[in-house]
Amino acid sequence: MHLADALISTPVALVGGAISAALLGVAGVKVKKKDNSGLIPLMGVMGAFIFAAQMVNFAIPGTGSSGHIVGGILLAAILGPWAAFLTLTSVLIIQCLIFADGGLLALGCNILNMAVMTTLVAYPLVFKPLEGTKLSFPRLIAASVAASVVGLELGAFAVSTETVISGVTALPYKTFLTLMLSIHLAIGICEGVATAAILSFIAKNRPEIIYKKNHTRSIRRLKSIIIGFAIATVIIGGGIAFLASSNPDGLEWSIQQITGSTELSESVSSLASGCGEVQGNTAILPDYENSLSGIIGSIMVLVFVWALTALFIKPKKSSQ
Amino acid sequence: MSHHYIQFSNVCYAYPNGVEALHDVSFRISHGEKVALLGPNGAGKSTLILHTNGLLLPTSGEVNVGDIPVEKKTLPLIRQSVGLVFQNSDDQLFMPTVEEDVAFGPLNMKLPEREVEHRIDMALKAVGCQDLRKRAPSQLSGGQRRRVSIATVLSMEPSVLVLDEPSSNLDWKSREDLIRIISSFTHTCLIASHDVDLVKRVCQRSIVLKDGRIIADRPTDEIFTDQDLMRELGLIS
Amino acid sequence: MEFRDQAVPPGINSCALLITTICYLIVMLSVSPTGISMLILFSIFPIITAPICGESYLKIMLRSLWVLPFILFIGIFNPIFDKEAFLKIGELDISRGWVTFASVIIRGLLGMQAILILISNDGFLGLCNSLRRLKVPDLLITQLQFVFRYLLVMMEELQNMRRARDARSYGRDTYPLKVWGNMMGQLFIRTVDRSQRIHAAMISRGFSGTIPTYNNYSFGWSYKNTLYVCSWIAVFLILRLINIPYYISLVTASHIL
Repeated sequence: MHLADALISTPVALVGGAISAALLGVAGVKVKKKDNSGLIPLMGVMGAFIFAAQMVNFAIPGTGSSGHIVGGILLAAILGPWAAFLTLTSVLIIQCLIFADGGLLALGCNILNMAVMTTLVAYPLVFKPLEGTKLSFPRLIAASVAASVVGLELGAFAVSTETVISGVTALPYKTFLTLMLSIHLAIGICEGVATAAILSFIAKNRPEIIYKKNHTRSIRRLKSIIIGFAIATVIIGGGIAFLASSNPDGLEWSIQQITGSTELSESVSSLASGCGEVQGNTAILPDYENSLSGIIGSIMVLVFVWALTALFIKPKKSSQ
Repeated sequence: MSHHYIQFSNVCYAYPNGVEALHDVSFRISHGEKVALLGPNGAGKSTLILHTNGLLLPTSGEVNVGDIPVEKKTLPLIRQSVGLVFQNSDDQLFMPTVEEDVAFGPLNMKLPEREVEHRIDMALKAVGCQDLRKRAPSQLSGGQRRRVSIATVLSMEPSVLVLDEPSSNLDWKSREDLIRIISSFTHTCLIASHDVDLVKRVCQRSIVLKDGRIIADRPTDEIFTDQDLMRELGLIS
Repeated sequence: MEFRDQAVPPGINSCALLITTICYLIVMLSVSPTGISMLILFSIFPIITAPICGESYLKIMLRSLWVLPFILFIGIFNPIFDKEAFLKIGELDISRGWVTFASVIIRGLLGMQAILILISNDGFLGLCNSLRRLKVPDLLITQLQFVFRYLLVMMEELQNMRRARDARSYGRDTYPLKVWGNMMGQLFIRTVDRSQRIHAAMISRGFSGTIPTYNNYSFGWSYKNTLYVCSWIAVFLILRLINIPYYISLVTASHIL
């Protein structure tokens, strides 16, 4: 589900980044900066745990395939939504920078799709109410599966929407959405069952890890979270709608004609006329033959630059 | 009048689940003494160690470090004067680089920048790891990690050092280095260990713990020549 | 794992490179999906920056191919759904779908190369320090450093558990769900225990809720860094706003083709 930079356009990436940054700010306040209850090291090693858990696949019953866990609901069940959000975000950042999963500019969107949708939406709205206040395995399993499905489906919805608004894929929105939603329904069920498997093991062997929290208080807090999310949803929805309307042909960038302006001034004004338009075509290819020669020429320029740098800048080997 | 001693007086400790881990433990380690803490697994060594700097507080009885009783309100002071090194270096070294780890204690003490620098140099020099300063813990060998772990508490300039299994899982060379380093310390030391050789070479005195009670507290030589006691500890068969 | 020896200074001030890289991605990803020539020209940034940061461009280029499977999956739909003629090579008509497919690939490769260079310049930890300079909240930085610190430790612990289990059954990569759940549950509990031991180690060294930052990094932001960032931004804007491929195509068309 990690979006690569290739699949996203600048405005979409920036909106995703802004929303995620704002929520991270809130998380920073919610997870108290001065905390001496051991939450800081717990969040740290839990992030590392998610990586380790993703290294081992489980067999998906009834099929020949196997899957691994994403971990949003699991983290939220242990750490609470905001700490889980921070933890999952750190996992996504490390996946992006070290394991090359997902793009750097797409990071904001990836945080939104994977961390926000599971820990801040699916957990408080689905898992929490279903889980109940007392340990019960059927409820735990139901809550895990339902929350994982909801979280991943929301994520899949967001991924398809962001990609299509970005106008990089020619896939019709409906086709793409159907495809993504059905794939992630399956993935969500597996994720849910796997989450339930881990949670039941913990509940059996070390119940205090999950059930030490004061539930009456967390339910009261739930209300404020729901309100927070209603607001967030409006903002997110509004942002997307704004993008879609300011760039109405974003969904079908094919409308853009290749014979667009060749003038610099027009390009500049198009850049200034709103982020939606930045997308707009400034690649001006006068005719077919010429554009081919343009590509060839560009490649030649590159080879030349490469040769020059190879000649003049020697890579100084870092010792590691 | 010296601040460099540890005194346990009739310390009992029971975990919240009711298991009694320490029972009427009393001893005194005086200034500059190096004392070994022996005993089979589950004898209560770790529990005892956690009492030395107030990570656990006794259910009844009293722990004193120097003239200061170990209580809630003296904890910051106690933790500066008792340096506790845990068995697993991966738990002890949690910061990204060696220097940040060694600086962690002094920075928590709110020392001025220059003093922190001085402490880092001093602590790393004491364990012979000056050139590892910028490394990440995962780039260190097991022996180096153990030595840096000790440096992380030395930088706080404690008067008492408490080491939990300092020589476990080390190869021969690293272990020799470590023994040499520990021997060079002038600190009051309490060392929990199964390593007979280390105990014989470093500690003049040994305290033997079994089932939460002290069953022997004598010079190390005597302890290791007491066949019955050795058998009880499972050190010989 | 990207460990960079902290004793070696980075090739480029890591804050400056981070800012430049983000600007690069912002401008590069705003190029229209049909603007392949323009996108190709954008690779001068990784080509020039890679050797300065201590890696050969060829190596970065090859490593960036890793991203292909992810983008091919979605990109391949473009030629299927968008068959409108766009480009003619000799007798061959190339549909816009194939052109945008190519552009998705180039975008993906360039984006990945930018990340790889950023990391090879000052390593992950160096990057964390520059994020701290750029006022990213300490809590997140601490969290990143912690995860990074314990990644290998956890992997090792997992390997040990797997070895113990596999020795009793037989080597395999995929486990039945029940076995998997028990294994992960166990690993999870060990993780919680580890966090408690770490916390104890932190407390005994005077931790009281805030991780102190040790600043020994010669950050030295000089006018050179400002100049560096500004000149690259200028280059990106020129590449983006002036239709260089058009002029190049005029030259190549008249002299070569």
